[in-house]
Amino acid sequence: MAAGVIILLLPVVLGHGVLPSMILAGTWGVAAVGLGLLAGRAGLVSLGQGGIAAVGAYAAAYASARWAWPAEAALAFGTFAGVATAVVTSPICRLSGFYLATATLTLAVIVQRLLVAYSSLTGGANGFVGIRPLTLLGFDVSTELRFFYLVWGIALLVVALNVNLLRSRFGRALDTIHAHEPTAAAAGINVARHKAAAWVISGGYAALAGALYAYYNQYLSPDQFPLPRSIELIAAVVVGGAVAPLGPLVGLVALIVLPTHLNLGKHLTAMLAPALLVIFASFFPRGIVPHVRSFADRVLQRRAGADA
Amino acid sequence: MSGDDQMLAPDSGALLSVRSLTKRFGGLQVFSDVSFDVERGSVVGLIGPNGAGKSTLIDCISGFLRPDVGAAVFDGRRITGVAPHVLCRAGITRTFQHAHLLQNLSVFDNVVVGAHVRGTARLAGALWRSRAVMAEEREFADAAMAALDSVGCAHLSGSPAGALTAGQQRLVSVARALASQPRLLLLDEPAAGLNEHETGALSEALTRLGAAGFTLLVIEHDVKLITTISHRLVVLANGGVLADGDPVAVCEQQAVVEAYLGTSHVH
Repeated sequence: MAAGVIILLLPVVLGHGVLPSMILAGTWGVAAVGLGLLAGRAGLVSLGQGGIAAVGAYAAAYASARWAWPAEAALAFGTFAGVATAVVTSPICRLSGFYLATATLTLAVIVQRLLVAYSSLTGGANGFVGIRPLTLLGFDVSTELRFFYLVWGIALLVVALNVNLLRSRFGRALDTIHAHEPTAAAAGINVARHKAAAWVISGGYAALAGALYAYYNQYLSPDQFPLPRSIELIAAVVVGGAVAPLGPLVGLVALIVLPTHLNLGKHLTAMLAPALLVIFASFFPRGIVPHVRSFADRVLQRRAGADA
Repeated sequence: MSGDDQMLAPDSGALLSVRSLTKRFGGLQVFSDVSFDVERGSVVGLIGPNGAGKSTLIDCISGFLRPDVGAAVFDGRRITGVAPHVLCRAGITRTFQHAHLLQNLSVFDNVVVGAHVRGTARLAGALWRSRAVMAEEREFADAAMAALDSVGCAHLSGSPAGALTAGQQRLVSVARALASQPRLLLLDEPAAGLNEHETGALSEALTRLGAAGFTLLVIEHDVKLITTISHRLVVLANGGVLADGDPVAVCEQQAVVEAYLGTSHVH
């Protein structure tokens, strides 16, 4: 709750200069929250979320520009396309560890190639134009400030849904699978189906993020979904904290918003996500949010101790 | 039901019938032609020297391995080759030599996973915590607390699993299995690595479960424990069933003493 209020007040406090990078962080945050569920809870590390996001982006863009669908329907269609892609590719979840990472990485590469190859549908390397400005329920959302509130509203909603989902039978089943698959199977959990379900849910989130991105950018091209996009998402999950509900969002703010405003330049910014991924995975595997929280707990306890 | 299954069906009221089970890994034959019954409401101990294939046998019965020859028949139905999660729904579950608890979660959260198997609410309902999901969660909670109570660990429900002793963790893993309300529970060396005091607590808990009418098949090395809790003992040695009968009588058989007890009851 408090985190949500802080984020929504940011443009008021920091001025509208933060909007473009915050919008990107919020948009990809929707995908990162899904990846947090997949990698953090089910233990399935995917390097292919950018590929599924691209499917969602192009599907929504196509529905908007070519079929003139209203935004609500186009966003739903984009999400559906990502879910369908995830369902078709769900046998990938029978792999684990390095093999899964490689297979999902390949998926992202294949999607990018297809976007270039099927230029009659996607515009190929020249890109895709004609996406209509975003109006939702008769409300114009095409200004940056409104878009900021929309994507962060959706990102926080997705976090809330995720928290509910993971507090349920489904979340505990994923935890058990992560800890010891035979124990999960003996407890009546269909391991393959639960992994596939986590893959499909995270695919839906990734595709929704892609569809929102299409509306924000009003223009799509295959080079907007390169491998670093997928690496950035997994880096955000690791840096922010995979298990903490807000971890992936915090991670993306660290990876997208900070470098923009610190003027790190193109090369340093490109190196930031991989570098932080390695540093956090090696030294702070729990991520920023859990570390900050336990630090805050210690400080509060010490203060309470001093008062007593 | 095929004629083959009818032939395999137990003629007694046995809940589980193991019929001519043979398992090979490549050229290595683990055991062959193993047959025994587990009667409804009985506690059957399965002992044997290291490498006799006890765990492999449990894996074959619980769906983790497929035997090469023979069948396990549960409640009149052939179960060999059926996946473990399907068997759990049918009423068979098991524990492992390690407790495999989620160390960061509470004891309750660990045990409630076992109760999930009876859940039917749809996944989507969990997104907004629908009424069906919440009602079901309360049922799970009741089943989990009942299971914890039956192994004497109800007072630990709020503790983090990581804070428990090895003996308590083992009991909690038994409770997790009980939370699915199985008709047959397979325990793979529940006392492995436990000290004398912890083994005593385990012995008491398993004796209570036996008295309450649970059907248990227990692999164990600790002869004192297994003769205390079992109604019947099956000895697996040299790739086959060496003895099957009353625990005390079985332990006195010369062949059993030579194959197993003579070398093992020293430690």
